[in-house]
Order: sequence, then structure tokens, then C-alpha cells
Amino acid sequence: MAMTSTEFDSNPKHRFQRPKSGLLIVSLALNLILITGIAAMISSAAVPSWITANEITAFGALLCIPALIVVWTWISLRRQRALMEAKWLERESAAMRDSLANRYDLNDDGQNQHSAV
Amino acid sequence: MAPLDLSKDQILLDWFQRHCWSNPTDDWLKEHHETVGPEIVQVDRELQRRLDALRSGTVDDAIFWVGLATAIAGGAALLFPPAGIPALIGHIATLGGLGTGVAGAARKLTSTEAIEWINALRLDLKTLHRRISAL
Repeated sequence: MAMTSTEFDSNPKHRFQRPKSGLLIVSLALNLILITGIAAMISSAAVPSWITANEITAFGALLCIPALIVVWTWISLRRQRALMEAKWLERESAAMRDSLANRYDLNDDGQNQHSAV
Repeated sequence: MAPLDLSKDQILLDWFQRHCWSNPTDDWLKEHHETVGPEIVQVDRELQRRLDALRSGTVDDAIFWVGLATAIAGGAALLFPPAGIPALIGHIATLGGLGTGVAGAARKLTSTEAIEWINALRLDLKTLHRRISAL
């Protein structure tokens, strides 16, 4: 049976095998369609009379560029959230390291003060 | 070790597997806390180093925006019907720019996921620390 996304994320091993975003795949597919179309057009010159090769590329780009900007915005928002969480975790980690350093008499590198060379 | 290769870093992953994800018993932690405690500090410092390397993202931004600007310039030039070599340059600029933009976005997504992984690993470290403190 297929796993739900929550089950997938809660399995620690899967944190390192998470699939890439679907949005990025869509954007890549758009680019691929555009590249394939243009390549076929240039090689065979089978262009309909009502449109030119230049217009096909230009309008293809008109479709792809907004899609790319949407993907970029989504990634930027996700990154911003991750960095905010990282900042909070940095403060927590500093407190954790202090606590452990006091408890085990450690230096800054996490080595015992008395056994460190 | 490259900061983006966190998913391939077997040593770090093995450490987390052994100490966090395999859910060690309290008895095991009681026996090994004097080793695990200092290791938590070292692992956390390693995660911090990786986070610092990932934080800026300036290169990803530059790749994306240069690609996008090239694609826009190429696409706009094609709307003013050029022919021959200028048209070919316009096609190449549009397609190359779009490809570069996607590459920049992919790089940013990869580094963002790496930051999320580091956050998740730090939460696991916090949990382990809490367990050791409660012993």
C-alpha cells in the first residue's frame, strides 16, 4: 500500500530521499517541450504559415518565464521559512551545547577539557 | 565534505541512525551518555558549519536572475522579426536563459532542502539531549 505524505516524511530515512518538487518538474517539462519544438522546427522547417519560428520561441518563453517566476517565489518562501526555523534552532542548539559543555566539562570543539590534546 | 552532499554523508547518517532513529533504550543511553554527550556537541557544530555554507544562496540567485534576464531579452528580440544569425542568437539566448533559470531554481531548491534536513537533524539532536538530561 502506498504511504501517505505524512508517513513518508515521518520516516527519518525518507528525509534524505524526498522527491523534488512537482512544480519544478512541470517547469522543466515546459522547457523541454519548448526546446524539442524549436529543435524540430529548426531542423525540418515545418512551420505553419500563420506563425514564424521566432514567434513560437518568443511565445513559448512568455509561458515559461511566469511559470519559472512562480516556482522561484515558492522556493524563496520555503527557504525563508527554513532559515527562520534554523535561526530558532541555532539559539536552542547554543543552549544545548552550553548545557552539555558544563555537564561533561567540554571545550568549544566538544572534547573533554582534560583529555583534549 | 561538500555542504550539499548531506544526503550522501554516510558517517553522519549512521550516527543519527544509531543514536536517534533506532530509538535506543534508556539503559543504553545511561551506559553510553558520556560518549554520546560530547558527540552531540561535535555533530551539532558540524551541522552549524554546513548551515553557514548554505545560508547565503547568492550564487543560486545570480544564476537564476541572469538566466531569466537573458531569456526575456532573447524573447523580446525575437518579437521584432530578426532573420539569419541574429534570429539564431535570439533563439539560443531564450532557450539558454530559460535553462539557466531552471538550473538556478533547482540549485536553490536543493540547498533549501538541505537546510530543512539540517533543521530536522537538529530537532533529533534536541530530543536526544532531552533524553540524556532526563536520565
